[in-house]
Amino acid sequence: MSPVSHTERERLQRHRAPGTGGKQVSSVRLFLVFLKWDLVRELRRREVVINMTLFALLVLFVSQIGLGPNEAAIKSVAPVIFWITIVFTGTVGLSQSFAAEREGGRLAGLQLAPIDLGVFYLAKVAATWLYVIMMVTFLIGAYILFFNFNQYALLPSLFVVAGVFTLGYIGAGVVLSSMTTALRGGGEIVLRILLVPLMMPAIFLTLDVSETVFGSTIAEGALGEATGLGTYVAVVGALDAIYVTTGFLIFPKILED
Amino acid sequence: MTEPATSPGSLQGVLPSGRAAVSVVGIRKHFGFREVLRGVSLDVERGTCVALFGPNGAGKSTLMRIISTQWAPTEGGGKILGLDLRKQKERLEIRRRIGVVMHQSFLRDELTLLENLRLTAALYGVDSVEVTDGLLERFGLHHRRHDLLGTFSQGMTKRANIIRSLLHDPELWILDEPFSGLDREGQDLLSESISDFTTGNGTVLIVTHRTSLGLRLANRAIELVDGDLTEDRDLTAGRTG
Repeated sequence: MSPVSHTERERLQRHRAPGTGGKQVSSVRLFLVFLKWDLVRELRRREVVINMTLFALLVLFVSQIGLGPNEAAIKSVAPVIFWITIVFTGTVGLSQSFAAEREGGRLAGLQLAPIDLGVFYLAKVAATWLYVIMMVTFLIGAYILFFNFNQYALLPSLFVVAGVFTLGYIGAGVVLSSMTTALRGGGEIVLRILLVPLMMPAIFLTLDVSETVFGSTIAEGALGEATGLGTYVAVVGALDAIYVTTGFLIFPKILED
Repeated sequence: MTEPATSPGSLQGVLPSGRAAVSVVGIRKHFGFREVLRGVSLDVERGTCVALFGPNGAGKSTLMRIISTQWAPTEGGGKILGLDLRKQKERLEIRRRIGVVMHQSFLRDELTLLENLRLTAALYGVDSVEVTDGLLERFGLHHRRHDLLGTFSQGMTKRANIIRSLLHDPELWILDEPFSGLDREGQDLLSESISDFTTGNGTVLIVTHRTSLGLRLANRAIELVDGDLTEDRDLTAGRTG
């Protein structure tokens, strides 16, 4: 027997006074640990970002063929297609990101660890949001290319709207996908059925602000006066806070039950 | 030697609370209309190894999951290491002080063994460098520590799983079919570790279908049939050394 394993025998045989075991870990440290390992997984597997981006590019490509060179149609319909693509691509990312946590009983392992599962939720939201932002970056590039979008001064505003909208979308989506990925088959469809109605207030406001950030008229002005960027960030940002806070509070309960 | 239960399905109420590592009363668990555990009560003394036997579907793994705080019981409660099984704050403290090996490894295929152990150590606030090398040596995985877990065989994953469960130096070690997938050498290493663990006043609860191995390791054997504890045997009587 090697000296190391002999030491190990002594460690196992050492008297265990009540109260030994692990120590409490700060929430910030825990958040960073989960975020780091989620990013490492994505770097090694290259699943979520690539699948979402391919899906998004295909949707945009087919839409571009369908709309043809009709400039009026592109101006009024293409922004809507942009958001539809984000909404449906987001569910692909959410399902894949969470399904990975069910492999090998990892979630059960987390349930058995002395941690606040709400922190795991926050890290999962942060990681998935990062993946979605990467996908959105590719999507905006493709949008410029496919639809000859040349109002570059509007791009920062478009990024801000996409970032604010997707944060709440992912916040609510991670909670729902923790339930739907447990379903055998069809989990992603159920996720969409539950998530899209829940996000309707934010989706409506996002379509409305699109008149500002794409410089076009959506639905022939039927949505009313376009929402300004500042108002949008304040209102949808508040909705994001509600979704994420609610998720933080109920996620541990969902996993435990 | 057979010691009858204090009442049907009940092996509780014998030990003073300070000596009990596990003391649960009237545990019931329903899944829909199916009752998997029917009011199980059990005391386990600190520093002992208790083997739990029973046919498939008897509720052994469910009982282990409840004792390990993974699942909440439908009814009943009790104390694990003196902490209340039903109070959220105390459940967290129980988790800090127990090590669990279940059928699934809880490990990540895309990380190396060492990265997996570092992740586990970070969750438990343990300085992984201090303990990991010794455990890796003991379970014969030191040379594979930089390999991705996805490249491991079933037996090696089980060894990694056992190492993971011991990283934070738990007081109570819950093992659900720990020998499955292990080769002869792995079984011997685990058996030796269980003996060493109880020598240090650690408590072991083990579920296994390897009856002879379980009987050799345990101080006490209990049987669960159809959600009820039916038999309790003291295995120390007649043993020498």
